[in-house]
Amino acid sequence: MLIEFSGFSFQYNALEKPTLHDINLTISRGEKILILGPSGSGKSTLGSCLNGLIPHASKGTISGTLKIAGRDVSQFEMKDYTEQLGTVLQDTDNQFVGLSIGEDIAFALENQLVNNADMCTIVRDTAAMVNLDSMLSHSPHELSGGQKQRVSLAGILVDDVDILLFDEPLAALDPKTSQSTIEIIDKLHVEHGKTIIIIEHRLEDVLYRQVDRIILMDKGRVVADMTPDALLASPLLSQHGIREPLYLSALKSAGCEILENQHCANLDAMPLAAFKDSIERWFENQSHQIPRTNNKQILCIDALSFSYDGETNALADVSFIVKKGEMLSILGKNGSGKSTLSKLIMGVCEPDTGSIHVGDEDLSGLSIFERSQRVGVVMQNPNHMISHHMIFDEVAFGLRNQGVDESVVVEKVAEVLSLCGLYKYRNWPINTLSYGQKKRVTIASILALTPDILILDEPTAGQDYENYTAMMRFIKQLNEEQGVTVIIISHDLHLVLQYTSRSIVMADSKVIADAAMTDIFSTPDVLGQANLTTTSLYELAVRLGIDDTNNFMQHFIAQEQISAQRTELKTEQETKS
Amino acid sequence: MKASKISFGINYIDTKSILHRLNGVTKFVLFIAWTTVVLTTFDLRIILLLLAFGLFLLKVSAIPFRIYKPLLIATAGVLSLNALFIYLLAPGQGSDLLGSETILLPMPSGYSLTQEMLFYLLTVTLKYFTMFPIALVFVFTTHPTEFSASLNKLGIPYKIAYAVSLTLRYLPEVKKDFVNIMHAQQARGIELTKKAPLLHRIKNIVRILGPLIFSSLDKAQDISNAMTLRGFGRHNKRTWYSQKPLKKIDMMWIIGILIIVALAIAKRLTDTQLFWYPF
Repeated sequence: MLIEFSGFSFQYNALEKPTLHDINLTISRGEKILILGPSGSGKSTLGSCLNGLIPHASKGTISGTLKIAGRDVSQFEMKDYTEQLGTVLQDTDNQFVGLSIGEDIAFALENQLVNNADMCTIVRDTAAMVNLDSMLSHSPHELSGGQKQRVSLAGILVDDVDILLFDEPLAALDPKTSQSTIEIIDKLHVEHGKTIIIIEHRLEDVLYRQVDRIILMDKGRVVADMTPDALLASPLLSQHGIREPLYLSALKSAGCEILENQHCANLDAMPLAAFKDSIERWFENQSHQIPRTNNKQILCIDALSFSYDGETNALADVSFIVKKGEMLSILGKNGSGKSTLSKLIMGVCEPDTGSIHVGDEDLSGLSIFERSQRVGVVMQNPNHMISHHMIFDEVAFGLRNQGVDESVVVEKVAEVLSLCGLYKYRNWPINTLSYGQKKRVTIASILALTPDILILDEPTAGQDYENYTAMMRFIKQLNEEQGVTVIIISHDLHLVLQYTSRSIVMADSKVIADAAMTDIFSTPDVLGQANLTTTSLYELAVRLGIDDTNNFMQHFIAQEQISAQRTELKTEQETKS
Repeated sequence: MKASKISFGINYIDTKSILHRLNGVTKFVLFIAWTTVVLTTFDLRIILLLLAFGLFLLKVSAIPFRIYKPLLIATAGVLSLNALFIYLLAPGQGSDLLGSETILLPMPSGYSLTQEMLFYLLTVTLKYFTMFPIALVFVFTTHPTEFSASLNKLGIPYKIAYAVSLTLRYLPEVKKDFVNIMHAQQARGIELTKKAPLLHRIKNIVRILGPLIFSSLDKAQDISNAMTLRGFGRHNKRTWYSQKPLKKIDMMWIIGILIIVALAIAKRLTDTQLFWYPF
């Protein structure tokens, strides 16, 4: 046994309860393991126990034993861990400590006093393993997220360790880059015989390549330890707040029964013939929903161009229209111009040419603050937006700056807080909230200014499926009940597919598509240009020989919404009774 | 605050000149020696020689003029202002130090412009100005990690030396966070432009610092974990990927530099007159 937890528990010194309870787990040499679980399930803590950050950087109480390569880790120093196991952390920027690729890959070698000549050879050979050998002198700000991650990977491969640990490797990557990351990990497993441990909650993305075993964790315990096929055929995923692959949701929605021996972890290997009839029957039942149309345009972007340096355009002749009450998504890879667009709308940059109108009003003469009362932008990182200690003050801040009378402020803040489900926390300090709740506070603080349009930049980043669903349900509700027009900037395909009806796809500073979301998801060409991939829902339709992929997806989403409403009703009734 | 379209930075640019090929240690020694000589001398002849040599090195480094033009203007501005203030505060200092008084333009209450004062101001201004080309050459031709490696080589503990390159690595990231936070606050009505009174603006900037410090602390924790996981601090020494060996040409430079420094110090010790004044 390479790794052996027995009766292992851990409690951080700063916390009142243990984070890990009675873990019993073995991993053998050469296995490829996925550790799956919602936020707070203890999966990252388990990773920290493996790489030695616990107990060497974070202190706490350990009971039970953990053996790595046959030795009890209580005898380990930090270097004993690093000789066995290399870790790729979630944040690719924070682990890129060198000023160039070569330097960063060499970091571990420098610390081991490898001499200069040997170091250069090892760095070049390792860089070649991840296809970076021609870029050794590039600096971090010239690289994409995927390239930075490959640098981190090379940085641990120089050590020639047996075990590779990946802590949420896909968190910040777009769908196409996620796939290539999973491919690289798989190559290291197959060709170099590494033992692989991946910590993730994005199950479907990890299953893009075969995994030997999945350890499902929840509330600090291991709740399942089985093959992917067995796990997917069981009801455990929904019980523990993990999103199941889309194709399985579709099959289940059509009333198909999924069995373990049907290779359900891999759509390509699944025998679909048995499901064909029930799917077709399900699809025939489709209700042609007429989308709510509203012809009043609320946002009009016209021929917008902008350049940061006066040489290359970050936005080139971008035009589109948003109708009142729409829920729209803007898709595109990093650097395609999405965030520049939101900066121009916010007013922190002035466009070189073109105009932005909200309703009939031209934004060009308005200050940043005046604009935010018409278009509210919620940034990706809530910690960048929050500047007060108490929730009430945070939400009241914009109103107070408007010079609104304090009694009106109190009333309005109370209203917004109850809308966001935060009223009972109004007198709490913000730092006691979870990440998802903080995000809600930032949305509340923007809503307090009653904007017509809400722009959300990666609203679900860093949140697990349960929080994510709750967040999106709340935004959907704002859209439906308050009539707020919502624009979501994201590369999360599930999110976009499920919650937005129209998409604008950007690539290389231009708009390359503006169409109904299901149309775009049926056009692999457009998706490819934006570094997106088709979803497994589309693949399923294609494999079943369904031509009308567009309506197939639409039908699925409609069904999902109906069942979501049902569960909502059920939970409401349960809480009442 | 609008995003500026002209970006200029003071950082390493690889033009592959002869100076780029010199070892970081050599360039660091040159910089320290230069500073020493400049501080010890008030001899205009030496200062002019240094200036000429400095400008020559700047030319050799092949850094395009447009990159340091804003810096040149700023430095010239500050030095002129400095000269003006010396004159305003101590108009007789030139005569006092040089020991004679030749009035060129008579003025009331001791503000007469003397030839000595002009000469003194010229010497002092050029003395400071000689630092300009060498500082640029040093910053533009030395890779930051090579600089860290050199510091370490010259006896500074590696944990301190590495902090230099880490700072340069993460400064742009912190700046990015700062800009994000600033935008978020502006959107909620914090006024950071000239519209608000100065005191108000300072108060508002302080408000941005809170979230910036917290997000930077989180970042620091992550970075430190990443470094620990890769064995930083494992030994009390470390090697450097970007360190180049000292070549013969470097040794020649260093020996030459040391001789010149020794001569400059000897001259200062034997000189009876601090200033060189031919008139």
